[in-house]
Amino acid sequence: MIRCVEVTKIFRKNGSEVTSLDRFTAEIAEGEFVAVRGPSGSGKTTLLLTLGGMQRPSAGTVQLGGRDLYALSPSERAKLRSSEIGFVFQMFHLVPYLDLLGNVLLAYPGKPSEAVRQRAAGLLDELGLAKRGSHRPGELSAGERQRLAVARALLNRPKVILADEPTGNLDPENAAEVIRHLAEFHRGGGTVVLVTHGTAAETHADRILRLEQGRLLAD
Amino acid sequence: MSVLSHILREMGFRKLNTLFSLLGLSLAVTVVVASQLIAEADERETRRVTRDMGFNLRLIPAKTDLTQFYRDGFSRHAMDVSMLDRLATQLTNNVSFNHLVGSLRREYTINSQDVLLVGLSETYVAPGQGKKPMGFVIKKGTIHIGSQVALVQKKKKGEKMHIGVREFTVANDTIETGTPDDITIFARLDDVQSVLGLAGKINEIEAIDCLCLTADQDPLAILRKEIGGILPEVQVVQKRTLADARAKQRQTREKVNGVVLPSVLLASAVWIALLAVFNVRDRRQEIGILRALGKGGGRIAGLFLGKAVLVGLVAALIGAAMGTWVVLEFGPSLFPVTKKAIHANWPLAAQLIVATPLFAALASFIPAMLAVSHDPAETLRED
Repeated sequence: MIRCVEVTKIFRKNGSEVTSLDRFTAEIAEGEFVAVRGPSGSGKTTLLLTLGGMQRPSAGTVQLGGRDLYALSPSERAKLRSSEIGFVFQMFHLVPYLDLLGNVLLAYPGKPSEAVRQRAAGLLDELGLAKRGSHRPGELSAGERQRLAVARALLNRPKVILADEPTGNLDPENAAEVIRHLAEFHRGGGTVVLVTHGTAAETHADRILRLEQGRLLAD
Repeated sequence: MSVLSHILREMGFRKLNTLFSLLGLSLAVTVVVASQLIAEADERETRRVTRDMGFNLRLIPAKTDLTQFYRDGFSRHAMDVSMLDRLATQLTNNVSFNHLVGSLRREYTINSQDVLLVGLSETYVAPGQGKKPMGFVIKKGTIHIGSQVALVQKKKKGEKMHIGVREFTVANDTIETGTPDDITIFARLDDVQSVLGLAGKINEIEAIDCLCLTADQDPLAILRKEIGGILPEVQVVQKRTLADARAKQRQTREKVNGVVLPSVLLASAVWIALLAVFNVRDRRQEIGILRALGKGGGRIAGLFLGKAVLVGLVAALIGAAMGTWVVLEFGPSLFPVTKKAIHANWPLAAQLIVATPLFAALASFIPAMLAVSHDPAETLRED
């Protein structure tokens, strides 16, 4: 599903260089649930953004479903992201002026059909947000916001969900709830790459990748 | 979700940004509309007022001795009235003179009083330049007399008065002007030609310049060249004080317009651009997540440029209405002479309704490109 070969990402700022990913090589199979662990600054988020086609690596290749992600044009990559990848972030990154349904539908490319609207409403229902469809993200608790972000990530039936510390701002109960939904997606055949500090996800993960200073320490 | 729906919701959410954008642009459109309408009204007023100050061009036979002319106030040489017709046929919007009146002026003695007898033709006006003649209209068989003439001849409005063998009716209430007009009798040209036995003759053509020449263009040289090309038999004398007053008024207005309008447009463009930059900064995370969701640069640019176009459209409507209202409300007291000519300028409003959204989009273009080129990974990493 995902294949990284010698992926390196170097940030240059004010004349100095910081290596965020250092010759990272790994493969993630379709339907696998992979947790990525490591201390702050170890390159976890950089890895996730690189896997999602959001950040071009300084060197190396990233393949998704056999396609070299960064050999694609920006618009092809955007299309691929829209159809095959779902993102969940620690800070939710919801659009504050859209209601819950609007936030979920935002993931859909083009004008959503009635069927897509029903699917979005169904996802909100599954994630326990049905009654709050007309609310805005600012009126939700942190747990609810993250569940909304999960609903948005699931709308287009992606093949892979890339989740960056999705439980980082949640209490244990809500964290467990979010992990449960990711696990459900995984059970349905989806691939999950979960960047986390916590240990809760490890019970669901098929594999744990440990990063330190951009290097893969253990697989 | 459609781009329009997306834009409308964002505008509703960030009310202050939307309000300030609308305010800045509406104000600019108001100033543009008001200044344009005021400029038009000012020009009309200037034309009317300076026209009412009198003719500032005098065309007299070329062989006239100017010493005699200035001493007596008229030329002792006559020219054929057909010259007036010749000049009148050349009146277009492309010449620098207008409002032609042929006159025949001579001294005349009535009951031992030396007066100035002036016969005036009808006024010839360039097409589309107004029909109202300058000065007063003299009906056949009537005369307008100066205050000193009325006093010495003991005549009032409505009374009969003889000039030579012809009898005329005094048509005016006399007012002392403190000018040679006080010893002048004005009559129709054909009446004066008949009294003086100079049928078909005039000795002066009066005119007014176009109010379109600036001092640096040497207006008199241009006028002499234009008129001399049509009537080589005349010499052109310009009353400089009147001409200068008109030119100065016009130049002042042009200077004001030349500074005010560009300044307003520049300030408005900077204002819109700054608000758009703040909007982009406020929405960095949103741009990041839109990118993560697979939205392309076109969609993101569309959100910002579309907002600018929408704000520009609403601002144009508000500004055009406001600017028109301001001028219709306050214009009549500023321009009392031509107040009836103050109207809404709908073609200008229509132009602004098209131009303002484009202007707003142009001012927001750089911020929109900043949004498009913004690295989404940078904000998404800021968790």
